[in-house]
Amino acid sequence: MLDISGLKTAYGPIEVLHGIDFYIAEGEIVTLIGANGAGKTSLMHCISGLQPITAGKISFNDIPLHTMPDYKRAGLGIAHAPEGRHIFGDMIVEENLTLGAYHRSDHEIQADIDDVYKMFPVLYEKRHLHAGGLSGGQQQMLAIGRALMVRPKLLLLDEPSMGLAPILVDQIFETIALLRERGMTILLVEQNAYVALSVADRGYVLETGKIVFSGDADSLINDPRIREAYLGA
Amino acid sequence: MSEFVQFCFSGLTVGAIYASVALGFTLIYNASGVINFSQGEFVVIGGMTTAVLIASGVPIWLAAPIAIIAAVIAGMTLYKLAIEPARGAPLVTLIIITIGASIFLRGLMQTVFDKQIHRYEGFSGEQSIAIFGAALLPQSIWILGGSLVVFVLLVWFLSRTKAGNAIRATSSDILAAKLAGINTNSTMMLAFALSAATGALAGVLATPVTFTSYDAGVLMALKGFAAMMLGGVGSPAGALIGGILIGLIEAFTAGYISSDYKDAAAFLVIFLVLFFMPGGLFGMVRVERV
Repeated sequence: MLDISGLKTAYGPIEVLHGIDFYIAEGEIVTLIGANGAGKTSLMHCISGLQPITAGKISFNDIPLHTMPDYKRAGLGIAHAPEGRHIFGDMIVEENLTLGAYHRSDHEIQADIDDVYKMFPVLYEKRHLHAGGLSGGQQQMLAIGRALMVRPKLLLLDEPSMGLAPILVDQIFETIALLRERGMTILLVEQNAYVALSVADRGYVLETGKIVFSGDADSLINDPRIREAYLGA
Repeated sequence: MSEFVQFCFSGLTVGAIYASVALGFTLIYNASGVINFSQGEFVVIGGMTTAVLIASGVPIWLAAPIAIIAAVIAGMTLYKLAIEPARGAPLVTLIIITIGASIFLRGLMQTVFDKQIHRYEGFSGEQSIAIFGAALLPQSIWILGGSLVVFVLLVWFLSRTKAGNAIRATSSDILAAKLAGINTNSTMMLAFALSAATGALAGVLATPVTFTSYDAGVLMALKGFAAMMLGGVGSPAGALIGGILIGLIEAFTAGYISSDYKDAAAFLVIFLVLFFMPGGLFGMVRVERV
């Protein structure tokens, strides 16, 4: 579904990804593991178009992405719930969800909004409130809900558990498991490598802009080097 | 009594003009976070173009739309040539660019038009209507009506249309707007175009009362800015109320104190708002959670 080869990107003169080869097959949950600054978020931004690439190729269902402007990618079915949530804080919850479907013109938008409310009932309760006033966990649900409004084929989740209380982390990961049952393809970036690997099919380990390990989630969880570096065992 | 009513009439008239300028500020601010200090020049482009066309025999109903289109082209060009290439620069830089654009536009108008003061006849004649012993110009009704219509259209556009929502989303969080599939570049260009049209319409309506000249935009922009600060930055209702209040304050200062202090009143208001009520009357305090 998603194929990346030789991907490089830079912020000004500083290259942060040095030739990434990476793929995601349909229906998979793939996780990216790595320390702060390893380039996980940069890689996600390259896929959703927020970060221009300097070399390499990205293709999505054989459509080249690297030449496509950022705002056209939602129309292809790529949704991104970015790190830091980036909700529209001065708009109400329901407007946030409606904007997630901005590129759509079908008549099922309201039905999808109801679907998000079913998944996160607290958003329904607060649907007329400004999103900026929600708690961190509710904002994260809203960010995921808004991404789902894209009707994504590929969902990019960047640090969905960051800053959340453990009970909310559980809730977010239950949602991810639910989405997986629905057959959604997900790329997940997480600080909490253990939790991420336990829901994922495969994982990649990123270190200073290079992929250093990749493999099945089970084999990564059991790999002694990864256990030591990322799982704290 | 008649004096008081007279001051109210003149205050409401100029206030409605300031409100239109402030609404133009609000549109661009809502899309980009930029305070566009060449907003006053859009007003002058509207007034000057209409005046010059009417002087050369074009009827008002044709001259006014041409003037508004001229301002829209100026607004889009300003975005394309000056703002878009500097995307990603800090807001202060963008605001300084608009000050530069304002100086440039003034020079351009001096060359294309002239340095004279212009006006043309009011749309419904010059015969004032007597109410409570005070004189109300029919053009004042046009100005008030015009800014109310612009306000209603703007509120409807921002809250009820897809393009309006895109403008609000772009200002709220540009990264999220891109991810939602909004073409943020053309959204901002649309905001500049609409804002220019709003300003130019104010110029077209106001020129029979206020007169215009190539450099009239500076004071117009500053008064509109004061109106927006008083009303609350980013709020259309604030822009409208703020504009009317600044107009009234100015008219009463001129009438009861001295017309020498007329312009100072608006700036005194900016100071007071910044000191005591930085959010303005309708301003929202942005809360951010981490």
